[in-house]
Amino acid sequence: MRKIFKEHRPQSEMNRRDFLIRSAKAGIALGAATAIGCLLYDPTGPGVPVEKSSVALPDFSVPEAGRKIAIATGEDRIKTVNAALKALGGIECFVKKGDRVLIKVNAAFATPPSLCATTNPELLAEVTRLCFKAGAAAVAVTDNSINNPESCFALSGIMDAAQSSGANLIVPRESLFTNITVPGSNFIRNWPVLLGAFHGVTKLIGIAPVKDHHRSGASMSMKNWYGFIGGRRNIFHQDIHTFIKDLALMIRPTFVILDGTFTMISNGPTGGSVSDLKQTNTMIVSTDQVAADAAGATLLGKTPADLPFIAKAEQAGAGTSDFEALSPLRVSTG
Amino acid sequence: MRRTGTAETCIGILILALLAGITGWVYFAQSQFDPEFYSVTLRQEGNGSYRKNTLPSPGSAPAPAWIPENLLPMGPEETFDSETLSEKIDGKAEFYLSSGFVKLRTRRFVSKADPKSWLELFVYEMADPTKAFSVYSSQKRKDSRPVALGVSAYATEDALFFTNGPNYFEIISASKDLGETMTLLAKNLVESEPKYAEQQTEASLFPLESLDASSVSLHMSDVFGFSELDRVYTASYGVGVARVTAFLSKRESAQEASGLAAAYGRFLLENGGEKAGEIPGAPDSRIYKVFDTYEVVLCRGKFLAGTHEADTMESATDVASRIYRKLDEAGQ
Repeated sequence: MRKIFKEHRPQSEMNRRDFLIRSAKAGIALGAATAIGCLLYDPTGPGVPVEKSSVALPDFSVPEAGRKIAIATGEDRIKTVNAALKALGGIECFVKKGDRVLIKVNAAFATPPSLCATTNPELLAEVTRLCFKAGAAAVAVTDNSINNPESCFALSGIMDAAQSSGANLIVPRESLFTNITVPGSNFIRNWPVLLGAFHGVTKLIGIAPVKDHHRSGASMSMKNWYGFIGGRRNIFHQDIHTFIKDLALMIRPTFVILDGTFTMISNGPTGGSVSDLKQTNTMIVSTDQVAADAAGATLLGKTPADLPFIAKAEQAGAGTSDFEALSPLRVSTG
Repeated sequence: MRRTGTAETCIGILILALLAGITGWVYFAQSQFDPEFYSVTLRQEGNGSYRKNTLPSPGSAPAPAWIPENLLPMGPEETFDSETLSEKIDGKAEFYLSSGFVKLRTRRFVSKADPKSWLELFVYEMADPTKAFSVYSSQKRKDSRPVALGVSAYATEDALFFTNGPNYFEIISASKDLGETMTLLAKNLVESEPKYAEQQTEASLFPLESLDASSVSLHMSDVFGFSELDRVYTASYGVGVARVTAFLSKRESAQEASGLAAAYGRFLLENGGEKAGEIPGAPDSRIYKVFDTYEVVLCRGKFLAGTHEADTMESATDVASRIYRKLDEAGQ
């Protein structure tokens, strides 16, 4: 075999001096390794996921508008949404000339509008029209739906409504999602959010139907922000009330529209028949999303206390559950 | 001291460099630690917008033999398992998952005459016929009408629901004009399925007099808000102008039935109820007054039974007595 090392020559006996030098070097090496280990030791471990980016989405509320709620009653959504907005001072109080408005609809399912599992297309078209009338430079509509987005937008009637009213439909795609961490959130930590839809946006409006929800008890304004979340978000159903609170912390809208013209009182959130609906003839418009949901709870025959996410969102500072304290502006369209 | 050779020195430096490299890599990897990476449940399919299906296009997929002639498929069949069910029905997935869900198949069909008239068929495959009946009955819509399919079935003005063997079917339409088509589709589906033997369950022990047969339901868990009460059949009775809900559940043993009756009784007492006697001639029964309603809880052999939230004591005990006698006749 080829010799790699030189032949061992008879070693001279190690003297005391060599022994002490070698022992000292070994001791220094051991001490250095121990010191480095101690310096790098993390007694708490990795714990929660590393926050790659801590992002607070812009606050889209209009400070001078304050916290308000209007509750309009009537069968016609177009009339009730106009009446509610007028009671709040008109949409011009919220949408100014040149604003770029993002409307977050509930397009979760590829179901017909008649089931009221998704945002009503006529209501969407009317709100879009009002935004343009107030001087909006652009209106965009989006949702990261539960089912295939193209099917959801098409079959729910939302695509036609958006296009016919001049709004741009943003269909979620990979590049629009960014991992973010919402400050104060329990679950939205290093998690994909539909940030791309917010590019250039100056005002944000949520439009959601009032629905029963098997897991959370209700799906309304705050739950509607679920459609900004990406990834395997169904895992959040394990603690849905805390997660809805997180959503309310993430989004501070200009105002929300809660459509209770028909309320899905059973078999939510998908429903499956008009028999799951109850005609409740109510349209709620509010700058306080917690108050809107508290008022919406009554349409489901519940109190805010029956829906733990409302109290959690209130405690987190997202709004008030005592919507009556905001002196709701009640109007009837006859 | 012996001097090392050049080769030994080079190899030593190489090993040290390798160790330094490994140390650096470990340090870098630690600083990038992401618990999600190690959790299967958190693993993401893409960054949020991943979907398996696409916008349906009518007639793009072969039509199954059982669809009525006036319909065309809008696209291929989609299948969902327990991992993906929530991608189709979101928050309702937990309801099915806790009720013996196996698989969901869905497909949309559109009317040849009117592209705006379409319907979607949902076929939930459950673990057994009892579980299929449970999800069918516990979602039953009010104001529905029975449909003669030879299986448990009902329809609303825009949907048709039925169960056959271990499968639960939903046909949901976007138009109220597809009623006849839905019924025809349902008949074809029943005929295309194997003939399942009729299940003999404790529901057959509900006395028939004044029973609303279409109201029989099976509840798998958390019945009447009591977490220990599961696998309970309920049925509605008309007693004069009053409606009374009766319940019946076969347990594993007589001891379990009596223990559960006692536990449910305690639950009622802890939640505002008070004892209000027992049914004459039925020593295993207890009457409770809970606020303005009456509950009767009784056990007979392996059966736990009674009435729930009756408006009057008379109507509660009338139905409960009949159930008690029926259980006696059945040899329990």
